[in-house]
Amino acid sequence: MSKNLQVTATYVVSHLGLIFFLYPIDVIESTNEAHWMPVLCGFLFHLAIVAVYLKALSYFKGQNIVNILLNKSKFLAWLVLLPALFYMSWIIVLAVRAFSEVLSIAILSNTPLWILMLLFLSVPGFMVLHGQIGGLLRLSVLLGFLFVVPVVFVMATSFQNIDWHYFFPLWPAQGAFSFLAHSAFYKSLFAYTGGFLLLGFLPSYAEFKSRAIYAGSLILLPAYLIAVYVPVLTLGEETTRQLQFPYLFIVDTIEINWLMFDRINVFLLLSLVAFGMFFISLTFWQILCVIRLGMKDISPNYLVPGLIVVVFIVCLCIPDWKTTDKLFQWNTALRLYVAIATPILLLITGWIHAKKSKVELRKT
Amino acid sequence: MAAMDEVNSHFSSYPDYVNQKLQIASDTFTFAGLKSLINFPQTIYMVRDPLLTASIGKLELIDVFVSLGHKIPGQPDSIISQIMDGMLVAVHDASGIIVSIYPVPQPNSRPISMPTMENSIGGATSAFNEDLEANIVLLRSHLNCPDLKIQAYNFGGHVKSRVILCYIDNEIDPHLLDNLTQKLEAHQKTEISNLEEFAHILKFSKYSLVNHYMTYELPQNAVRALKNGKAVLFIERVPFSIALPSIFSDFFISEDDMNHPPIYLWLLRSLRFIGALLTLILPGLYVALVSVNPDVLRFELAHSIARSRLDVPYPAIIEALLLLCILELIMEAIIRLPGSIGPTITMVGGIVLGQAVVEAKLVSNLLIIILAATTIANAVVVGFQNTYSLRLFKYLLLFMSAFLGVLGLLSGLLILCAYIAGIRTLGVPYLQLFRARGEKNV
Repeated sequence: MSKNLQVTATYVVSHLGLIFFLYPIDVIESTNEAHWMPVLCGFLFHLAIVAVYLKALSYFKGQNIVNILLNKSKFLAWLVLLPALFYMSWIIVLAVRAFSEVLSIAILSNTPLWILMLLFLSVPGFMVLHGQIGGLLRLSVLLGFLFVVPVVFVMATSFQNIDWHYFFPLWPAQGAFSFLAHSAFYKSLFAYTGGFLLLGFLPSYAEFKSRAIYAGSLILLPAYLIAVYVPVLTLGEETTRQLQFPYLFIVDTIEINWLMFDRINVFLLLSLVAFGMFFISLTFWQILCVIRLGMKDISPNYLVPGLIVVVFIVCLCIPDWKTTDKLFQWNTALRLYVAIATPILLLITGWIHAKKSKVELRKT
Repeated sequence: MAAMDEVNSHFSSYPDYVNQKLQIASDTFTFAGLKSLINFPQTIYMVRDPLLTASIGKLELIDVFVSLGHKIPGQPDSIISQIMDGMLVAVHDASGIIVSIYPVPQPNSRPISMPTMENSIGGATSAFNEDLEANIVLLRSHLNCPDLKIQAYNFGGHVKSRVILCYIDNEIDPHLLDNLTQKLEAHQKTEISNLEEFAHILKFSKYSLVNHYMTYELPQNAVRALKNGKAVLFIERVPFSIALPSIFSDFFISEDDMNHPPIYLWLLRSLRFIGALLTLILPGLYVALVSVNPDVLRFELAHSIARSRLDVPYPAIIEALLLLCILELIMEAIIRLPGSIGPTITMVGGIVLGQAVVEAKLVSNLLIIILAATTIANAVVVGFQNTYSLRLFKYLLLFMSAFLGVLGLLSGLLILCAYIAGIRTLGVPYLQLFRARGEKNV
């Protein structure tokens, strides 16, 4: 039974949670004009790695990445999986820390940070423990159904104060691709590479067509553009640069007469937090997969609480937002390695595998 | 006959035990049975007629006698158990042949009538009752198809009860059927007289917060369940059908919707969904907005709420809990009361108490409105058992909101969603919309 809808929903929902926080400011920092270029470049990069990844996975029907690599060679497996494992743990720490920080700033200024961090770990922990991957996939559809309405509503209303003149110039006067040299661009790739690893873990649990993933990424493209362009079109590029979370700031300025609520951004924020928790739970599950299939089959009932405790302690050790940002910056190299090396190594393995089986087929 | 003497002595203290002799030509027959279960005059008439005809036509009397029912062994135990099952036991005195005959039964349940728990608007109104056979008749008349399979299981060692399993061969999920029949066959010695024991046999968690099965009184609902790949079970003396497994859409979809035009059908279903969301969120949202995040509200609204709570001496969560407690009491009390007193209690509880509570400045006006809306919205979901889940879940959201404001509300909602998404009944995930499809175990 194919689960295209569930996988697409999972894919879209897990990415949506990452787009609206740090991504806009990174893109805006990377270039002065024509922001659509870094957005599109990032998106094409994303499509490319997903395409390679899916192609590689298609050589091995119904197997997940851990099994594929461990069956081929131990060395290769750990060349791919160990960085991925490290990367995913790092991502969880960053996500938990960043989400708690944002929420603390936006709605819960009196609540101690550790309570928020604990919440951001325990709810995803429960999601993984109770539902396993089947539950998570189904949950994505329910979350999409419940929370996409407020997100789309807020996105639509965020165009309230824009000035289309800021859209120009469409093509920069000089140095069109100078953003490629800027570190902020590579930092912004976070929004594209956060969730794609998941696709490699799914095949042994759920069948899906690659078309479903491409359709999902098409849904995401407008979200990437809106997250960057709405602040730029509203405030202009120079002003936007000064803000930490430009999109959230813009949403906070929206005024709707007929609504009983004053701060629309709470709805956006809460929906994104829901998606963010879902993203964290998915990453938990991937870590679980690598550990249980690759190292030792420990019961999730021990593994998940253990992971939560470790991540929580690491989170507590991060003193302020500056350190978080620095960690985020340092993470870039590892992220690029995982995003590029994993699909390519897997593709090469797949090629060799396909060739071998073809030769064997000919022999028989 | 020794066996019959023993049976007679076993039943000697039963006031409804009948042991009657009948002389046909030269042969004597003894008939025994319980007159509380058997309509004796009609049954004897039914039995005597072929025997008399046979003796007049000079046929072999014994052959005709045996063909009236089926032969049973002469042990007292088997005779007693036949009698207890409501059969007429007949003995040919000369040869000692014992035959168990299906008699004219005494009517032992109400006639097919209107449902008592479900309401039907624009649909059929004959409901299932306590009689297994009548239930099967109703089901068959609504679903006249050769693929309908009906299997009977006998449960219990000392106290016996019958369970009937119905499903449509091509529709039901094979994993579900395997799981179900395995569990039913493995526990044939266990007694089943209520749904709790039944749930125990099927190994449902004791701590589950949602229903794993739906109970339907109306046959059309049971038939829809069958067509959607579920199994329907009848337990003896339980006046409704049990549709297994229940899925998420059972909260919102009722078969009688199909008698409305499609636009209204979808509007009604959306209304139920919105109602379920409102009943979950509203109390929590009130507490979150009043006590933790008042800045989310428009200033005018926040101001008017604050003014109405000016004299209320405790936090919003206590205020909400107080009133919710009274509402739960009213809802529980109305079930126990006779129909004639129910409205009075509603009046006293709802209007008089509500008004007095506000006047005494114990709770705010807004809270009364919100809780009234919550209670009404609670009742829009399909299936009475489902309202229990909603009633409980709203407290989770309420407490989370009191703790973390709107973020708590969201987390509560997420936990709830994750809980629902993770539930499986006999291998079938709960969160499905149309058909009960199984899933390979992860």
